[in-house]
Amino acid sequence: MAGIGFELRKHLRDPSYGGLLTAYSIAGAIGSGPWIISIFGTIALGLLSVRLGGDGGETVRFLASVTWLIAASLILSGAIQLLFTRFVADRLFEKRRDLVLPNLLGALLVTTAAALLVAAPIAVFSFEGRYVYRALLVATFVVLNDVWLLSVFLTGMKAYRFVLGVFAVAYATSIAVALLLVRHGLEGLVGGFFAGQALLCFGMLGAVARAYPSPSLVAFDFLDRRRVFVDLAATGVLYNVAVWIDKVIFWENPGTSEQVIGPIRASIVYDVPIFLAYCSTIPGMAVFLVRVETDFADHYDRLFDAVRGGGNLADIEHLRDAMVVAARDGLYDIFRIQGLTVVMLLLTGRALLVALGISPFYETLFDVDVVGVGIQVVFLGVQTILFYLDYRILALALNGLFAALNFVLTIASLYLGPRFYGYGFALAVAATTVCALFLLARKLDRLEYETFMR
Amino acid sequence: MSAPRRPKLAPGQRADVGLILEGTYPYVSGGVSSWVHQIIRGLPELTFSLLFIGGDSSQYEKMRYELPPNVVHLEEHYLVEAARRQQPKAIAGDARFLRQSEQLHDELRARAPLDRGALGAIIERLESDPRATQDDFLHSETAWGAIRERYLAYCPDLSFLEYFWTVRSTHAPLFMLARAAKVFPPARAYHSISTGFAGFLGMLLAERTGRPLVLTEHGIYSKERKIELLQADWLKDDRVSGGAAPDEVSYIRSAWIRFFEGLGRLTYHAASPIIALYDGNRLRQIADGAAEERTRVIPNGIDLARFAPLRDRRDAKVPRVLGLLGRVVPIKDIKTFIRTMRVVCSAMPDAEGWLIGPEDEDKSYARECHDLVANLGLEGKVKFLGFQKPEDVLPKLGLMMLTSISEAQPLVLLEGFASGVPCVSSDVGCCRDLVHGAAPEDRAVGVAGRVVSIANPDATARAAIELLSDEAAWRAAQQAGIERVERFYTLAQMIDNYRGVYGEAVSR
Repeated sequence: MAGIGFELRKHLRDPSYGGLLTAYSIAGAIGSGPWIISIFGTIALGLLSVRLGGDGGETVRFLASVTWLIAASLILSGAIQLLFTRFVADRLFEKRRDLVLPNLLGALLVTTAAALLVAAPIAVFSFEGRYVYRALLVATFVVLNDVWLLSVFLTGMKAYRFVLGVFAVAYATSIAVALLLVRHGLEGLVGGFFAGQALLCFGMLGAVARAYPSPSLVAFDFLDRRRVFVDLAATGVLYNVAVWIDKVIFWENPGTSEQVIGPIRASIVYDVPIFLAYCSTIPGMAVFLVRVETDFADHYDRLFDAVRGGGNLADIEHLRDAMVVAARDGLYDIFRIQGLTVVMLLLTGRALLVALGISPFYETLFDVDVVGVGIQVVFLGVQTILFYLDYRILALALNGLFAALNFVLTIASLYLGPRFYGYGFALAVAATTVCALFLLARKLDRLEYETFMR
Repeated sequence: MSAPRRPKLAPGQRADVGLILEGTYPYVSGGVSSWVHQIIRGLPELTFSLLFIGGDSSQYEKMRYELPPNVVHLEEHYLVEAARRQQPKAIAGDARFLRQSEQLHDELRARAPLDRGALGAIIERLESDPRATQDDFLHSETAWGAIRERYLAYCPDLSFLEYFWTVRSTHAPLFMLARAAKVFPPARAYHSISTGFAGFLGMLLAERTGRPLVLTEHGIYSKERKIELLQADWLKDDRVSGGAAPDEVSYIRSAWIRFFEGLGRLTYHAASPIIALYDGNRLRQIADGAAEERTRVIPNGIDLARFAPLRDRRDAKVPRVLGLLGRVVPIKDIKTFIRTMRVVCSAMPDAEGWLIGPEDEDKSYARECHDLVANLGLEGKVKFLGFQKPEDVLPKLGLMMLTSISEAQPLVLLEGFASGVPCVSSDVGCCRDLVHGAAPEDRAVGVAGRVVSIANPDATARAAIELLSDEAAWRAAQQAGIERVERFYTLAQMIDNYRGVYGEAVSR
């Protein structure tokens, strides 16, 4: 699993505009590909069923079900995503590759058990009838949790290209299976989705097993309190809560939502613009990947190799300065490129919505969401830098702030009326990002002191 | 065996003398420990409190001595503490304290006289709140700034990580000692048996209570640390970008050495009197920063009542037995003794060499010694007897052998003299004075054996053969040894000297 950084750098070193464009295109594809594939794959599944004479109501139920499954599984598996990625990074630093696979299987076992414990009672008590659908809900929920763990792990190992490929194959499979099952309606669609996710799960697991062979099967070292950072579990949960809490509020508020199936509700007015808006982050994510996960990460490695390798203070401080410049330039580039994208979408939003066949009624909310998700990419960059520098408590606090602000401001926006929808999320992410930038700047200013003395 | 007595003073009570003991009595046996035991037993009219400083608690489990009844208090402190598991907070740090600390470090570095004001303020701060001062040192921004500046000023090419951890690991124990100084019950006078950490703690106690600090050095602590540090292989040598000459002492090594020299200077600064066992060491203390007018010599003393009767248990004929009483460790250079025996046995086939002392301290060295005996064909000639009571073996020896590469004032030579055994000794510490005499009236007593250069088996063997084959010479040496001990090195004299030192200090 060679890192993508090498290939990106090769294109970046090409002085022509084409080289730069290639690098950023690759970065955009591998950085945003998996979830773009997820969104469009899922929508395609729904639309295909309508096209093939399916029931439009079933499509709505399918999309709402999948959205809920994704939201709930991201929040639940958030507890183990960062924690486990860090555990693996530490073991690899200790050159204990043999510990990776058994602990991954252990983590998958724990995740699967937790997901079953959460999903089974809800499926049993909160729905009526449709037993196959309910069974599929539970199965899909479990597999999704495992998929998030695996994909975050593989992305953390910088196996971007593989992740992109396996996502594409999985969603193609989903569509194929759904087509075969099209006469079974909702169950057929969810079944297709489940089949794709299951393939994704085992495909990724197989890749890890090949890359990290191990003599033992299952281990639970990642639960050893001495070797694990509990704060990372809390940060992972809080981040996903923060990202989804405004949507949940809109789903649960009777004035902005409708019941779809069982306890599952949807808010057409809120969901459509924000999911569209997320597609606008492709450029920002590409820059993030090139500048933070590649440039900054390289500078970071060089700095700490120098510290550990017996470098003198002048060299260390020089490398520190270079790393700070890389961090600053990276964040600034995300801001610039994503800002440009936002401005373009603000200017062309209405036309774009019309072209996509979506009511211009959504335009204001779409504009606000485009700004909000744009800032979220910057926040992601800051957060990644904080994780590199091991400021875990700070990251935890910032995600707590993000979640709290998003909760409070979104409820406030509901009271203020439809003109303010979306502002809750946008203001929450903006305020959090400003705080994060301020604190990061402060930390970078005293990096050696923080590194050695604390 | 009954559980050892562990006396504790009640709050508010005080002892006459607070003894500060680093890695010795009552948990480690050896020459210094026996000496401490003798002093305490010899002065039953005084009460003693003991503060033992050890490396880490697992190394010292069992008391090696039964504490005499006038020991009224014992407590232990260990340099290696369990690391505290808590997230350190960022703190600004005390800029004034830092300036004073910098001044002290500059003075120590320049070997300049210490400024009482700065040192006093540092001690006061350290004693009033050791924890906060430690946090300041470990986590404050001012401390970081100071570490950074001194690094840039003195060794900008060194691995910063190594420099940083050297600063930390040298200073960390000092805060533990400051906490120990806070809890140790007050005494009317303090007596430290070395400089180093014990001396530093003695300085803190003396400053805290305003009571005098007496210092006795058997060896020279900073010199011993220096020898250890120059040999230590846990210290990695510098990775200097420019490339230092290979035989140059690395900066980190010299920083450690300077640290212990600094502790020595701080102890000398606070202590009076500063006592050495013999004049050579007294001069060395002065060279290392001790004020000459506070230095004095009190030699070791031998309990004549214990050793003099052994003379009557000797055979009329001089036994051809060469005995070395000491631990089987490299500093005693046992291998030179074994090689000496090869030469002696070739000339005198009936001679035997006895190694009398424990072999468990350095097992690999002991094994090498056994191998050497086998390789030289000396089985049955050189015997490893393990620990023996001196009373049992001394009457059977013809010569007391000492091949050490470093000693101060070895008690075994004096014990040998007192029981009628002349010696062949390497020229270390004050062995030459013990054999030939120091002051003119001492020299007039005669020569109590032979002095040879270190690590020289041929010369050592020649000296031994000469004494063993010339009975008149041997008798003369025996008489000189007996007279020298009885006139200059008796336990009674030593105890009297310390009775005077303590009496003066307690009433100061």
